[in-house]
Formats: sequence, C-alpha cells, structure tokens
Amino acid sequence: MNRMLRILLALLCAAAILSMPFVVSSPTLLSEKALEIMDNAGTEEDSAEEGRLLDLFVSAAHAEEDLIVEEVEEGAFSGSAEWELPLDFTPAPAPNEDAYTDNGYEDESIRVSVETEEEGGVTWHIARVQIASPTQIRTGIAGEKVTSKRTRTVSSMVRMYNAVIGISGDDFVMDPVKTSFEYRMGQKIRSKTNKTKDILIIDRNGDFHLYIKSRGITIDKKKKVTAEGLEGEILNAFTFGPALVKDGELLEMDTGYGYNPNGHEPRAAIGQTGRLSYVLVIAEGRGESSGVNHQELARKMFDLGCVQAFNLDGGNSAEMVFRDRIYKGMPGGDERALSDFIYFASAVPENR
Amino acid sequence: MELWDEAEKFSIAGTEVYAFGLMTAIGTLCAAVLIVWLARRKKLPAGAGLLTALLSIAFGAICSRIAFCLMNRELGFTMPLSAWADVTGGGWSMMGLVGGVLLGAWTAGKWLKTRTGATLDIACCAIPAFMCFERAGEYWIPEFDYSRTLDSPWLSGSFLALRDGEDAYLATYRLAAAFSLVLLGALLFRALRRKEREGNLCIAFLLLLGAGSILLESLRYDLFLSIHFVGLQQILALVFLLAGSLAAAKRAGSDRLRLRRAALASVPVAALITLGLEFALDRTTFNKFAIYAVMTAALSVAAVLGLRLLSGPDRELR
Repeated sequence: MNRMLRILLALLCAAAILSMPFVVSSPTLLSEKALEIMDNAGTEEDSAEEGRLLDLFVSAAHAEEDLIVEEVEEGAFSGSAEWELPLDFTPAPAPNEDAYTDNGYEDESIRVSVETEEEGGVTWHIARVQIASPTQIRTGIAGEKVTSKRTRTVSSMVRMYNAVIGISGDDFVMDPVKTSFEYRMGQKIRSKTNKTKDILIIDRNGDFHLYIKSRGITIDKKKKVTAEGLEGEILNAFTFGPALVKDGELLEMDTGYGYNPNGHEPRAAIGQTGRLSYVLVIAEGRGESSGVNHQELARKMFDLGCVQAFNLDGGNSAEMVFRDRIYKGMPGGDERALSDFIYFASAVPENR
Repeated sequence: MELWDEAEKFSIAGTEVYAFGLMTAIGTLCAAVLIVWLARRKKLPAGAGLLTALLSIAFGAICSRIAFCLMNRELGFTMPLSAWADVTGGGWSMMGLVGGVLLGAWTAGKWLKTRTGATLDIACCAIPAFMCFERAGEYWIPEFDYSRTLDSPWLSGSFLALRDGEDAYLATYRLAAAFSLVLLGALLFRALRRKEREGNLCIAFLLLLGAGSILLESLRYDLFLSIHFVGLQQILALVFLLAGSLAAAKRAGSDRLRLRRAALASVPVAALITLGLEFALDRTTFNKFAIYAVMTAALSVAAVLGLRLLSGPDRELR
C-alpha cells in the first residue's frame, strides 16, 4: 500500500473519530427523538396483526344485562375541597401522622380504610378511598420525565410522592407497543390505540371512562384525540385491562385477552364506586392464596360496588402500599420495580 | 451544528460537544492506535492496520445502528426506515458494533489478501479498549445502564452503587467498564506473551465477551433492547459464545474429542440455565445472589472449556 493511500486512510480515520463528539449523543434514543418518531409513525388507530387475528377468533366482552348495580349514591364523605393539588408530578403534602388509625387514615380531605379478607381460598386486600377533590387521585412516575425508563418500587414511590395509599399502575415502560395509549397527569406519553386492549381514562373530575378494545377513542390526522363520553382533557390514561365492570354492569371476560385471563394469578385492580369514591384491590396468588382469574376479579369488583373497574398489572407487579404496609400479590418476595403507580394523596397543607 | 438539548454536553474551547460522543471518540482513537501498533508487531503489510481500523469503525458503526433499529422495542422492534440514518438522536447496540468490527477486520484482511486471522486478532484486542471508554461515557447518560434496586447494605454502600434518594442501584456501566479493562489486559497479555496461532485471540475474545456480556446484560434493569425478561443483546452475546466455542472445537485436534464435546454441550446448557434463572429473578423469591452465582458458574464453565481447547503446547504457532 503506497504512502498516499495510507495518509488518506489515516485522514479518514481521524475524520470519523473527530465527528463522534458532534454526532454520537447517546447509546439509547433521546426521549425527544423517540417521541418524534412515534408521533410521526402513524396517527390512526393501530391495526396490529395480533389485533386482527384476535378479532376474528375471539368474541368481544359483553355485559350481562341482568346484573346491573343500582345507581350508587354519592360518597358520604363530606371532606373539604378547600385545597387542591397541582395537576403535575409535584409530591403531595405529607400525610398527617395523627390522622392514621389502625386500618385507615382520615383527615379533612381524604378517608382511607384497608381490610384483608379470605374468601374461597383467596386472600384479598381491599382499600376504600374517598377524596374531597379530584386532584387527589394522581399518578406518579419512577423517573424524572414521562419518557424515562426508570423503575422504582411502589413503596419507594409512595414515599417519594407522599401518598396516603398507592397501587401499582400498568408499568407502561415494560411493554411500550401494547401499552400504547398512556397519559400521566395530563402529559401524553403515547397516543396510539391498540385493538386488543382496553383503556381506562381518568378525567379531571376524577371519573373513570372505560373503552373496550379501545373502541370509542379516535385520533385524527392532526393527532387530536377524541374519546366518547369524555369532556375536557385526559388526565391519566392506561392501556392494560381488561375492563372488569363498565357503567355498573359486570362484564364477561374475553378468554383470549392476554395476561393469562383464565389462570389463577395474583391480581391488582382499581374501581370507582361513586363520585370521588374508589376501591383498590390486591388478590394474592401463587402461594397459600390461590389467586384469581379475570372473571373472578371482575365479580369481586362488582360485588364491592364498583360502577367502573379495571384490571392492572398483576403477578409480581401487583402491589398496594399503605403507610409502611406492603400488600403484595406474591407475598414473601422482593418488591418489583415499576415505572409508575396510582396514588391518593391528602390535600391538607403540611403546616396547617 | 445544533446539538440536542437533552444530551449532556461539554464545552471545549468554546465548542459544545456531546459528553458521551467525546468518550466514544477517545475510545475509538485508543482502539485505532492499538490496531495499528499490533499490526506492526505482527508484521502485517504496510497500511493493514489503518485499513483494519477504518473498516472496523465503518462497519462497526453501521452494524451497531442496524442492530439497534431492529431490536428497539419502543417502536415495536423496528424503527421506521426514515429514522435509521438520523443517528444524532441516539441509539447504538454494543453487540451489533462488535459484530461489525469483526466483519470490518475480516474484510480488511481479504481486501489486502493477507492473514485474516491476524486482522481479526488485532481488532479483537482493540475492542475492549473502546468498550472501556464507551461504558465510562455512560456516566453522562441519565437513568441508563443500572440494575434493580439493591437490598444488600454492603453493595448499596460500595463504589459500584448509585444512590437515588432512598434507593440504591448498581451502576452496571462501571462494572462493564471494569470488565472491559480486565478483558483488554487478558487479551494483550496473551497477544504479547507468546506466539499463538492466528485467530486464537479472536476466539478467546468471543468466548470471554460472550459469557461476560450475558451476565452483565442480565444485571441491567433499564429495559434497553430487551423483551420482557430477556435482553436481546444477551442473545447476540450468546451467539458470540457459541461461535467461539464452535471455532475452538474446530481447531482442536481429534485427540481432544471429549473436551470438544463438553465444550460444545456446555454452551446450550449454560443458555438454558441462564434463561431459567432470568425468569426466576423477578418471578420467584429465590435469593438473587444465589441466582447470579449459579449463572456465573454456568457461563464460566462454557467459556473456560472453550479456552482449554485453545491452550496447550501443540496449539501454539506452528
């Protein structure tokens, strides 16, 4: 190889090396770049191959018409809505230590009661929550931004956000293709629907809206999202499911839904029983407690008086934390680190 | 040139550069210098070192990017083609890079009609030098290359841990940088200590990198290029381990039949054990130290058996 060629090779190597500090920004996609790509990848409803196949072979969930919960009276909690929390990821005021009881918490803005019951070989942990302001039902993320892939345990996030009580969310980071319609505290993470998954939207009034197989949600070419029955902006949205109870009706579960629908597993669920009244449920499994399938979980939520109820991430992710008590779907093991959680906070200022 | 706001930057003589990019540039420079130096030591034709370095850089970058685009789960494992060329937004795969460098080194050898075993050897010696700086550069990438939360107090208080409020995590990039340094030392020692059959260093590199990377990727919990509980880069690392084992078995003589069989069988066994243990990590209550001890043992056996096939007086340069 002649000298000129060697000099050329050396110069090319040098050029490649010198360009790297200006070109190589990160080993992973920058979140701004990721969002840009996802936004440009398509604005219409997702038509995943899996979704098409499932639609052909599996019947959609339908309501059992003879099982309708009577209209639930509004919660009897007459807390003060004097204080409202900002709708962002700011931690809430710390709970008042004097407001804790043996199995609950009550101050002027929130009432929580937690109980454990055994039924049919299954251990259930049930929390009832009533709040005074819709700003007190919130979501928290493990990282600094909604695009972060950071994970933390639920107990860690409960402390981070000063939650009175928290439950595992849908761990949206774990499965970004399927958990495709995600909002947290008004910030859009993803807005592509998935025909195989149900969606829960919590609006700014603290009300739940359920969309079976994402039906009722449309995204136009300008990326504007329209959800049937929803007025105003989306505050929080989750893609996981299935929906368990919708508009007061116990749903028949889709046996091909996903997440081992017929298996007896640890499960987590959240439901709304009335205006600003909610239920959080953990069913233990894979141990002394046998766990439940989707239909059994739906029945439980219905029996607890839910007018809307939604299945959350189960298995070892299923966890509810109240004060220093950790209610795991799989007791005995380490907590799993997750990307997000749903929590209820007190709105009473700390120095009141 | 406008740089992304989100990425960490340094200002050098009034010019802003990416911190991570600067570290990869330093690593690439070290690797290139090492390649040229080793090429002279091995008395390769003039320019062979430079050509090997250039093609390694080019193929390494291309394969790294392609591998990342194909394995990136955020977009359903395939980024839109329109985004592939826009590398400034980030996205690189280390295992893809290794494959590309090997391809580049082999191509350089073929192009110059010289010993491809030698070009592969010198490239493999240089890769850990690059990796060391690249992993160190990940220090400036927030929320990247870290482990599950640590329960052990002594680990939480060690220099390998990061603290974030109440939680502690292993900074797995530091572990990976340390591993690369050790690998570099081992390969250079082997390269300089004795004359070895050309290609053996490359095989040793594949065995050690493959086994080590499977373990290191398992420690990560940032969901980078992963699907559920399995890292896609672990699968590529397994391919390297298997390739190294096959190549070592092929080179070993027929008088070492038992060792060859054991070495070849150990790779799928280690893979199955690792898969089972990965599943058990987050889904059972088994002790994590025990899990990683068994995983390390299984992978070490596979790597050591492969290395044994390369060692012995009759394996040296003939």
